[in-house]
Amino acid sequence: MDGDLAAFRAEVRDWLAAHLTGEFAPLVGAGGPGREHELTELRVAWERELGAAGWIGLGWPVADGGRGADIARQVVFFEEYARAGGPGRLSHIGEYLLAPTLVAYGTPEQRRRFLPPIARAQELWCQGYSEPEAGSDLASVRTTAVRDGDTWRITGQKVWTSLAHIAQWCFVLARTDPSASRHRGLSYLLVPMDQPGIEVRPIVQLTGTSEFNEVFFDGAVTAAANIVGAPGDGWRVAIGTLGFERGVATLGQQVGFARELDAVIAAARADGRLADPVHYDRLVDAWIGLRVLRYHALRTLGESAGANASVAKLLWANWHQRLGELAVDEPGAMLAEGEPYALSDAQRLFLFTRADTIYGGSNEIQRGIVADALLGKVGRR
Amino acid sequence: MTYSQEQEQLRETLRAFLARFGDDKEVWGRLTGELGLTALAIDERYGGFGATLAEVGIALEETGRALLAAPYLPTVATAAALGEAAADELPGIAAGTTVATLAVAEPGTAWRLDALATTARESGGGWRLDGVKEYVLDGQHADLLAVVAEGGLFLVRAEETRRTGHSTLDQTRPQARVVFDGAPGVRVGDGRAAAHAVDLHLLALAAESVGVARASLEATAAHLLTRTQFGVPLATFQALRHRVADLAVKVEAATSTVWYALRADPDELPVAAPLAKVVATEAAYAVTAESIQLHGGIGFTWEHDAHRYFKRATANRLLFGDPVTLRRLVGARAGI
Ligand SMILES: Cc1cc2nc3c(=O)[nH]c(=O)nc-3n(C[C@H](O)[C@H](O)[C@H](O)COP(=O)(O)OP(=O)(O)OC[C@H]3O[C@@H](n4cnc5c(N)ncnc54)[C@H](O)[C@@H]3O)c2cc1C
Repeated sequence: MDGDLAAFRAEVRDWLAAHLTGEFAPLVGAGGPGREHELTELRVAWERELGAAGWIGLGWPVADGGRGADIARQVVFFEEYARAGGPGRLSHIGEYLLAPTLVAYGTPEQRRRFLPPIARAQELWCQGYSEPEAGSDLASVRTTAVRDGDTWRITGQKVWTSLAHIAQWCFVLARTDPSASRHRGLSYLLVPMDQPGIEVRPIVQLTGTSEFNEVFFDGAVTAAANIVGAPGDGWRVAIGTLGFERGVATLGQQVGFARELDAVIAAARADGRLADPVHYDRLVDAWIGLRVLRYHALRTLGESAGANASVAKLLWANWHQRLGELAVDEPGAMLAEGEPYALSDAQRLFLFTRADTIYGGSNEIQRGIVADALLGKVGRR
Repeated sequence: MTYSQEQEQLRETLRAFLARFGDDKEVWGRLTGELGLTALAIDERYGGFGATLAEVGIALEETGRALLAAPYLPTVATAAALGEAAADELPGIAAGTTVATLAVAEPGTAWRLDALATTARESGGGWRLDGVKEYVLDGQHADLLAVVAEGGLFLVRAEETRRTGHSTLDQTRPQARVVFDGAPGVRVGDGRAAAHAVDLHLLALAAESVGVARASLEATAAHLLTRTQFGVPLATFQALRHRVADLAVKVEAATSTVWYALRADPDELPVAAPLAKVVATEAAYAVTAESIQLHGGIGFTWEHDAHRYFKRATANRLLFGDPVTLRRLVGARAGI
């Protein structure tokens, strides 16, 4: 078993070493949060390279085009990928959010239609949940969908939609029964992006770059069959998607965190801050915090999503944000690297980590879930 | 799976037992006699059950949860540190007739192993120890002292020393000052063994602190659910719910950290043990302090248990090194 795992690790490592070179060499360390704008086309090509080699959908059932790899193997893949400096992934929304949703709630036809192109990175996905009037209170979405012959017709606006500008498909939470109560009138629709009824406008973030968008639906259409679950059952499905927490991906994410932490410590050593006892204490505390993230992931791995997923989100989001603050704790951080607004890795880490406590369920929402587990749902307003 | 079925069973049995007999004067006799709790991780050859540190960790969480006032922690941590090196003593510890403890700290330098003034000199085939040890857990009840001195780890019979019991802030665990005046001792390990013994005490305090923190958090949640103000239970107020959630995050993080450290490879322990001690004792301190606040006036009374948890957490945070000192130690050992 352990020998097999070591062999698998070697396989992943060898493949990455052989492929993350040549035309893909510029991708080492590119992309990811705060850097999604980098080398987009080349990264799409890289996703196809991964897909062709069978690295996407590693943990899906074999019948769905995956490899049925166990958790240990998935963890190994993430660790090696991060260690090799693999670029930020663009197919992850399809692979980790939509695919498990289809496996859990989709029809066999939907699985046959949508899973293979995700596994080959032929179709990239985006998540159409948030709206101008519906953020934390997701159940108040106003985008509507009405049946029109063999199609659904969608009208409304989504916002903060990451990667909508490169996605071929979007899973959209829309209101299909305005007369039903908030949670009951929603449906989960799969909508193609390339059509006249959809307009995508990039939103510039505080980093000066853009990775999320506004998406306008003006009578956009999708086939009647492209609904996951029954009409009116969209809330249950949408919450199911949110429950497919990053899971094993967190251990890979932590390899990236470790690299960032090493860089922050190296910088502090180089400019002498490490010798200051107060700085030293804070940096060691960050080092300890990363170990804690790892231990928590190891203890709760394979647990179904629940309060511990919220605990994990609160732990890593706060830890990462604190690391960003440590990274810019020196006066040079006041200066941009160049025109028009070129940022250092430290500055990007610092700025982007403000989002960590907002997306994927804000800290306040996660605290609410943790409190519910301990105190029951009384009085949650 | 995080804990095995046997481990869950151990936890349940012990929790029920401590709920019933925790305040009993005879609790030590019952714990060691009826349950054989000190025998848990001792090898079967010496009258033990041959379990691992993971099981001892569960027992410590439970004794912490009950704020057990008995010398369980120093006895089992010292036994784990000594192992085969004190084979003659293990049956007594397993049977509960020998209470053991570890003497490390000294006046002025606390737990600094690089500043030990206690000396051991060879004399007539044995050793003689001279020095003063402070903050020795359950020192006045101990039969056997493992002593960290210049040159290694030594065993000294308690009756060969002069002991003064202290009145302690945390009244659930006594401490003593122990004076060694040419006390005869046996050398059972080198400096590394001494450091390992300290690490095991850090780990034990971490495990115990998880129990302290969890009990305090549960009591706080129960209070918020029953206490009514403004016509509704306090648990209705989001400001309080979120504070409780932040405490729960600390407790879960501490649980994970201790869970890992109890299962760590021996060569990982020098980092994992002080790390777990920092994380768990800071969690316990935060929870028990906030617990007083969230209880309001009743939490400030002598009668209520909140202050007992707070005081145990406070002592655990300081014992064998405060968080600042231990972060420095973790940093040094991790090569930062
Ligand atoms: C980088 C980034 C990428 C994103 N990508 C996507 C995406 O791909 N698809 C998508 O659908 N969405 C995406 N989002 C949107 C994200 O999910 C929302 O921003 C988030 O759910 C918060 O909603 P909101 O922005 O409307 O803020 P609001 O819900 O208005 O919240 C504002 C503040 O109020 C707090 N708050 C709200 N409700 C409560 C309450 N009940 N109790 C206490 N405090 C409360 C919040 O925590 C927050 O601090 C992304 C966001 C970011 C920053």
